[in-house]
Amino acid sequence: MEQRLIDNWYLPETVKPALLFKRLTRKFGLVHEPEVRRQITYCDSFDWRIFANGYLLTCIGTAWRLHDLHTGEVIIQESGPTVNKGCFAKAFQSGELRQLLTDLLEMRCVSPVASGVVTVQECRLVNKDEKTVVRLFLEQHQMADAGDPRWAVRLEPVRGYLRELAAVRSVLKKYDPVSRPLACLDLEQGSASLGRTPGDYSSKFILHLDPDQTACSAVGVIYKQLLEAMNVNIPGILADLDSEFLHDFRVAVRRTRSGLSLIKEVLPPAVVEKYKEDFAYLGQVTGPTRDLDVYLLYEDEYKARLPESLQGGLHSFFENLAALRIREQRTLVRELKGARVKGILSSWATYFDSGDEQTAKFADVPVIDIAKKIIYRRYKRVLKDGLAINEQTPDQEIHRLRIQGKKLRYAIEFFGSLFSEQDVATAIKRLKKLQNYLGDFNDLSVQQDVLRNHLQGVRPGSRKNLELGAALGALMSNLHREQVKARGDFASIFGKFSSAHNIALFEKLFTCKKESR
Amino acid sequence: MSILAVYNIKGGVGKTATSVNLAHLSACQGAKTLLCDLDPQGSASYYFRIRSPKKYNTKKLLKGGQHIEKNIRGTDYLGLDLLPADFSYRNIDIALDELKKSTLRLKSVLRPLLGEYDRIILDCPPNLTLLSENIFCAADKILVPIIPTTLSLLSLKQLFKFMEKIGQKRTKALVMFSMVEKRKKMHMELMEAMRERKGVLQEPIPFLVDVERMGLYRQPVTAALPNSRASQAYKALWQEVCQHLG
Ligand SMILES: Nc1ncnc2c1ncn2[C@@H]1O[C@H](COP(=O)(O)OP(=O)(O)OP(=O)(O)O)[C@@H](O)[C@H]1O
Ligand SMILES: [Mg+2]
Repeated sequence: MEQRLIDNWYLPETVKPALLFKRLTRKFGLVHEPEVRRQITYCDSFDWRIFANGYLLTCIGTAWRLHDLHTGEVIIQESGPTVNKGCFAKAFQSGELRQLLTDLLEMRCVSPVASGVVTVQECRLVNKDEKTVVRLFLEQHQMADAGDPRWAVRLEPVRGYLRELAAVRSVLKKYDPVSRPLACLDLEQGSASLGRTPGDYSSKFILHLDPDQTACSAVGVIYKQLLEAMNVNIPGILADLDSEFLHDFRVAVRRTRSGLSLIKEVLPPAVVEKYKEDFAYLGQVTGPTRDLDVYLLYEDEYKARLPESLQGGLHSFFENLAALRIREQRTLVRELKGARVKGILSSWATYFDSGDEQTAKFADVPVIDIAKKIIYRRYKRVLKDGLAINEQTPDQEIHRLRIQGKKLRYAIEFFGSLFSEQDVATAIKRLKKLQNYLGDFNDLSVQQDVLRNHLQGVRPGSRKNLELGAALGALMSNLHREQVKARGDFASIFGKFSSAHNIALFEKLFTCKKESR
Repeated sequence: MSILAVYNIKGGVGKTATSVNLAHLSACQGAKTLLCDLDPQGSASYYFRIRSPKKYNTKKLLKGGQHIEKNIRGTDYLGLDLLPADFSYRNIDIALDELKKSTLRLKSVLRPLLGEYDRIILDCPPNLTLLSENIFCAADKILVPIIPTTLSLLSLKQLFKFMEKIGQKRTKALVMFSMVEKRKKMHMELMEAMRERKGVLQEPIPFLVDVERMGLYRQPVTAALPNSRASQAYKALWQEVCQHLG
């Protein structure tokens, strides 16, 4: 619901400020303070985390302000870095703002999403003693490349001078009240000129399918949306703003690959084969940089796992990774700008736009029918594989289960909008618990492998390498201990997932009972 | 959160000049500050161009709560409000005398205001009266401006004796030097001698025309001439006072 902001009005284009001032001189003396002109930049992460949490982040020079999105009020004001194409929470001095940004942004950075010039002129209205009785602020907001400026008037009362305030209000009441903070409008107008809308991107995969839609048109919707996610993330990957662009790109690639292998005989087999190969290629060229990103993101956690005396040894390890990453990133950029990647993405787009003469067996069946079949099959597989795991089963099987879990998750996400929203949310929540466990378990072994590999390349001799060796060894044993403990938890975690209660939910949702449709 | 009274038995020693400027500096620091003009002459209110509200009087002050809050006025400076004086304050002793627990009344009406204000500064009238006793009870610290002369020392002694009599600790008082004239040998000698004593602040306020002229431009000197010698002296003094306010 839109609330009205108190004492804020738009000044219509037809009313020149001079006219308003002249009107006010009938009742008050006017003292004009010097005009203040500021270049203002609005910042947010690519996925609008600041905005989504009900804030606005602005920056004037090195003065940063966090505003309430709905009232425009300044909540925190601190100095910080000069605005840049990408600023991480780490670039701020420790303080309230940095803490809040750390929590909101995690691994993401903020970038400019709108910019413009705000001019504020304060005018003090004084009585016959030349005492200030009301403060009036005339603001002009001009966003870059965004048409005409917006003029607004704001009053700030002075305690105890209510009659005077009422008199000014009565002069202004014929203008339109400002219903939302100007800062909020600035953000919308300014980001529109960059082709964006606040909240227009989220890494969440939200689809709306219609049960009666044909399978073929439904997969078109799915793949096109995934392709869109790949395309919008490319500029951020090329600019190397933060690691999430690449991550989201890869997730979209993985979902696409999963779709191609899970959803059978809806697209012609030749098409499926070609793009399976193409998207495997995209996964492959983006892999090395992502792996390094993941290890680099572990830096703080690794330090926390080690006693202080060993932490120094990790320094060269991370330096080394960072250097490797620079090289891999360069290769990645070359690939993404190269003909093969461009060709894959553009031909995939044209495939859906141009329509195919060839068709496949299930292309025209209602999507709901294939959806149930696919999800239920994935579900059975997870259940079967999971139940086969006992204490003696090698870890490898747990990793396989993780892959199966992921496939199930993707399948549910593709078609979730066809089923009861509440039930699907519950099913995903339960599956997520299992997936989180499997993901963590996998992480622990992958990390140990990486450290082991690195350790093999360390030559003994120097003091530095000795310290590095000690740190890596300690980390490995720490990770190993945690993994052993996690292995012991499997039975109880999977037990919950395969409870009668849960089985009933999945059966109810996804089995094809004859009478159900 | 504290209440600071600016008080002296003697008149014309710079109480109002001090409280007006220190209140302004306090607000500049970001502390929400209320200056209470307790002198029926209303000089502090005058400096801020604020008139006593029509329906405001001693009775309202002593009732407190809403009756005070409604009459507080915003000054021209952000974070600084003022409770104006009223001419009826001249009979405040009689009004106080009629009340039960008459020495604690001011304290009981001012303390609740510390919910809204970080700091309250009282500009007090001269004389030793029931109001003075109220002020001593209400304030956390009493800033006593003295002009360094032998007569001032005498009144200071009187003040301490009075405080003792009403059961107030001497340590509540902070003595400061006001309207100090360098060319007067006696000022300098007395000041040097006094400085050694406990509860005596080191930063003096010299006698300066810019302070005297505050009556003309009707603003704190720290606002009108922020870089003047006078402002610098008040800033140094305020810093020292803050250390004692904790
Ligand atoms: N540091 C100073 N230098 C020059 N003149 C000053 C100084 N401080 C105060 N004065 C002037 O001396 C006069 C008395 O000062 P002020 O009103 O502050 O004293 P007071 O103690 O509040 O007086 P009262 O007892 O009448 O309330 C005023 O005209 C004031 O402008
Ligand atoms: Mg006075």
